[in-house]
Amino acid sequence: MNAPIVLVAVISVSVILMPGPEPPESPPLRYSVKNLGATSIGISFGRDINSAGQVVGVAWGPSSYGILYSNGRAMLLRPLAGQDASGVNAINDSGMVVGNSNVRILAGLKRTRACT
Amino acid sequence: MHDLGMLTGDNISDAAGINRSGVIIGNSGSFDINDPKTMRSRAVTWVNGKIQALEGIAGEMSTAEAINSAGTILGMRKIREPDGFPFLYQAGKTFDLAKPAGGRSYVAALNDKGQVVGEGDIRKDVSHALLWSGGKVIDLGALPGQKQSSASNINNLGDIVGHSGSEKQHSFLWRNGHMYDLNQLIPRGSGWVLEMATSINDRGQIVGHGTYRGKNGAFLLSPR
Repeated sequence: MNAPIVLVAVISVSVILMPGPEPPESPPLRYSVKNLGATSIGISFGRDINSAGQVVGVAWGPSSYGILYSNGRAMLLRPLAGQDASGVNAINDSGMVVGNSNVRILAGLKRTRACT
Repeated sequence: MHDLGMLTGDNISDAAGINRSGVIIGNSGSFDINDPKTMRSRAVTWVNGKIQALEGIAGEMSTAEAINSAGTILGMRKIREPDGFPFLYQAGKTFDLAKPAGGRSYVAALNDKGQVVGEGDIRKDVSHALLWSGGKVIDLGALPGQKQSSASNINNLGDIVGHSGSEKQHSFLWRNGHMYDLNQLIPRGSGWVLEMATSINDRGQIVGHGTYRGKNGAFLLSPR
C-alpha cells in the first residue's frame, strides 16, 4: 500500500537533481561611485581609463587642461610652452597619455597640436 | 608633454589613441579661419615619434579614432560628406564597415577582438548606439523612454558603455544583449546623476561625467 508514495518521493528527488535551464544572465555587478574631484580649474570630465585604473580627463574653466588621475591624485597636464590649453584623449596600459596642446584662435575655436 | 608635430604643410593635429606598443594615431590637417571650406584632415600614425599618413586613404578627408593592441586602426573617411565611411585599417589595407539602415554613422572605439562601437542612424533621424561585430552592424537600442543613444567604448570582454537620451542623458552599460542604466547600479542616494560613460577597462571600471549634488564632475565606477 505504501509503494505509490515511495515512487512519488523518488520522482520528486530526481526532478530536483536534474540540471535546470540556464539561469538568466545575472544583472551586472553593483558599482561603487567615486568622485574624481573638483579641481582648481573648474568642471572636470572623465575621458579614458586603463587596466591599472589610471584615468585621464579634462578640467574646464577659464581655460582647459588635461588631467591624469593616478593613485588617488589629480595631476594637471600642462600645455606646451606658449600655448594656453591642453586636452587628452586616451591613456594606454603603460600610462602613456595622448592628446593635444592648443591655442585659442577665436572663442570656441582651437588650433591643436598632437602631444604625448 | 612632447610635441608630436604634424604633416608638412599642415597647421593642426591631434592624437586620439595609443596602444600597448606605443603606436599613436590621430589626424593632421589644415584649417584657415578665413576660409573654413579649405579645411582638410588626414588619418595619421606616429611610430617612434615619426608621423605618417595612412596609405591608401591619403588625399581624402579622414581621421583615425582608435587603435587596438594588434595595431588595427579605426577611422572615418570622407568625413566631409553627410555620411562618412567608418573603416578598419589593417596591414596597409582599408576595410569599410557596414552602414546602418539610416546611412550616417560615427565610430568611437574598438577592442582587441576588432569589435567596434559608435552611433548611427538606424532609420532617418533616429540615432542609436551601434556595435560592429562579425561583419554585422548591431543596434544596441536605447534606455526605456529614450529615443537616442551613443556608445563610447568597448572593453575586451565585449562590455560597452555610452549614454542614452537627448536632453536628460543617462549613462549605460551594455552587457550580454541588455542595456542597463548605470544610475540603477550605484547606491541609492549617492547624490550622483551619471550622465555620460566614456570608457571601461577590462576590470569593469567605468569612467565618465555627470552631476554630483547638482554640480558637474567626473566619476569612477568600480565593481563592488
